[in-house]
Amino acid sequence: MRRALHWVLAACLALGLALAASAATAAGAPVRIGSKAFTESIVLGEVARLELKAHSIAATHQRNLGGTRILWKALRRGSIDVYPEYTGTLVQELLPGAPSDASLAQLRARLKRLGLGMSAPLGFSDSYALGMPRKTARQLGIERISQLRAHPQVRYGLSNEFMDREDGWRGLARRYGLPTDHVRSLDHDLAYKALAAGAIDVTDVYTTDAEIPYQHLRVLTDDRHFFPSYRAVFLYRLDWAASHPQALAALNGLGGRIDEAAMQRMNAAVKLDGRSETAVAGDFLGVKAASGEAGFWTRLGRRTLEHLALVASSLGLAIVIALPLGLVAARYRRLGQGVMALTGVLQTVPSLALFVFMIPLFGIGAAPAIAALFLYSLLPIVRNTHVGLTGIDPALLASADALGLPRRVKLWRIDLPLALRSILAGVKVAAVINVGTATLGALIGAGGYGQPILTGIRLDDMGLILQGAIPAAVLALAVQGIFELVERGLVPRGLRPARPRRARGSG
Amino acid sequence: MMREWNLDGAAMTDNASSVPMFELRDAGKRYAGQMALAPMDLRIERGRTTALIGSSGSGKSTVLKLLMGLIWPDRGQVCMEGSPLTRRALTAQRRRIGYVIQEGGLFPHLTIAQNLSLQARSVGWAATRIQARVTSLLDLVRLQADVLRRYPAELSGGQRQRVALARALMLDPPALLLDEPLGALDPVVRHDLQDELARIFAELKTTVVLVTHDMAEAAFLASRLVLLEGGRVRQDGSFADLRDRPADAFVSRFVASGRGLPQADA
Repeated sequence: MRRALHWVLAACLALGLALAASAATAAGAPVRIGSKAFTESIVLGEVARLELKAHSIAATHQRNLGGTRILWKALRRGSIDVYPEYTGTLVQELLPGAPSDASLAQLRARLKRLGLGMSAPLGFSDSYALGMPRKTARQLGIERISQLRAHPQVRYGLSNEFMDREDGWRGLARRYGLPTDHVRSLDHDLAYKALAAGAIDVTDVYTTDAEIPYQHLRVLTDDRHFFPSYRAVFLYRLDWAASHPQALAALNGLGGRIDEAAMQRMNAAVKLDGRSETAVAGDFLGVKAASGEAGFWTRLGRRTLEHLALVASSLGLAIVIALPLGLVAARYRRLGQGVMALTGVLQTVPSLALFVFMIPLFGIGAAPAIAALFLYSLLPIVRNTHVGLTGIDPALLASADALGLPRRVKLWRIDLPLALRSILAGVKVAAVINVGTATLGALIGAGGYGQPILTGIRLDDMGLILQGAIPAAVLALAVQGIFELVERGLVPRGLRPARPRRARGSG
Repeated sequence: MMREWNLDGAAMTDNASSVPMFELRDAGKRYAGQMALAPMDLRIERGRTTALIGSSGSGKSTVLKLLMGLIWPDRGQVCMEGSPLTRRALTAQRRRIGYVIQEGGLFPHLTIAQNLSLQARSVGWAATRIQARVTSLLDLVRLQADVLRRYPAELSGGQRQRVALARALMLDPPALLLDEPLGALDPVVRHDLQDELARIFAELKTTVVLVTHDMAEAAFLASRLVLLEGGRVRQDGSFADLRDRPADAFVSRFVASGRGLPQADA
């Protein structure tokens, strides 16, 4: 059943796929690099791209993809060839059953079973750690986590996620026997501000956080080796590697060249100095990198086109599928209930989850985004078509029957025109929702207005967020306006909300 | 205007043809276990106006819907021109019947011109033929050509019923079924339209089945009255029959409800 549904969906989306123009995987095609939606991952993606370029190997970088699962699925499905990952994430999330202290060789063996490979570690490990202002650390004479035990007055401000994780505070406090009196949980970014303000003394950090050098923090040594190691590596597919030996050699050539301090500096250059990931990666490699950043209006134009393509193609498909579904639902009551229930359930799937579900079917990029938006558009259109058709005055239907109109004529000249207002309202709702939801497409590499929003959130840059949010809002309003015009054009005078004209004459 | 009453049904008699326009053969209908129409035989002869009268729930509209094929009998048969109504032949059979309902059933999204021409276009009439037919029908129902561009909501109730009648007559059907065609009109308009209908029926000499709860209207327009109550025929005859020889007290009471009708000579 599920499989059948997949096939139906896949067939429906042939058009969307054509739009998405997925790149070929054959040797000679550019290497497709992916990265997650946080600065370090994007910088590493750019480092890989520029390093390959320095070896005269063409590469593209699909940056800012939603999260670990999205990249992992995209890699295994062949939508991308390479992406930066951490050994800790492999152990904790991606390779269930791997021992927490698995060696690189053990990880490689497990990856190999999945047809995947892992580059030489890049050098740094981006793991959890505890950070403390250098000054405080010096005053208290603390260098290692075990020494915290002797200082119960130390105030802890820990990020929410770290507090709750077994491999976070709970396990850590047990392992080191740390006091739990002065522990508060707060947002990760706020924790840095609280440290600077002297409101807390210790917080959890990632070892490559840009704030560590910037705020002069001391990373306390994990002397009882509690935190799993999160060494940075590139993951790739073995079949890709076999056909791209030079590219693989180039990536392995990066092994051991990026230490914690270098990564912290690069993160700081992007997050705190506002430089582009491309420029920072280029500086690190000592190559000149064109930032490739187009002007504001060019970028806005490109995103608008991407966004419109997502909305228009998903909406077009939805109309083609949902209208007949609505018709069928209105004609056959039993079947109708099923159709309505199914589309209703689709609507309750959280949008981000739906986008992610589409990746195994359609890879990354525009196609899965169009598929997800298509599914979201179904309900309003199906429901309004159903409501419009079943709401037609039975006397009118009897009249149409009495005239002996053929089914086809009845459908096109009577049923659909009488349901038109309702159907158009459904399409309008779907379109406006799509404009908003399409911003999530950026998480799976579909571009559009979500791109600057994602980057803005990552860099805590309100200006960037607004560069996506304002056009999206304007577009939603424009779509609404366009549909009102369409409605005015399509709905005949006789059906518009009556400004009852005084009837002339009588009987 | 003085009305000429058609009291004894003598003015129009069954035309030579022995095959009735419509015939119910032991046809009955139940809704949710309730008897809407007891199984009955009923012949509707050609060329005259038959009124089905009764109060609401009497079964009169059920008969009309059965004749139209809008509902199907639970038992028995409904025949039109000698052959049973079948789902297969229904579309063709309906084109030989004009049908007008209380609120006219005009399509609100179509202009009057479109409402009138819809059926003719669906059977492939040429535009010139449609236009000529529309013109003559407007003439028949006494409407000006300027209504053609308007939408139903822009006409008065009386004008709408005239349009509905014209639409029903578009293909010049041999039978006309009217379900409370004047039921929603105010008394003055109603009175005028009754005269118009009488004139039109006389002009067309077509078979008419009229459903109404109004004794006076039935007596004025129809030569034969079929009085129904509780899904059964209580009496079937001319108005004079019902007035002078009522089958039972119910018929007497119903006849008496048509105030203003000519009373029997003392």
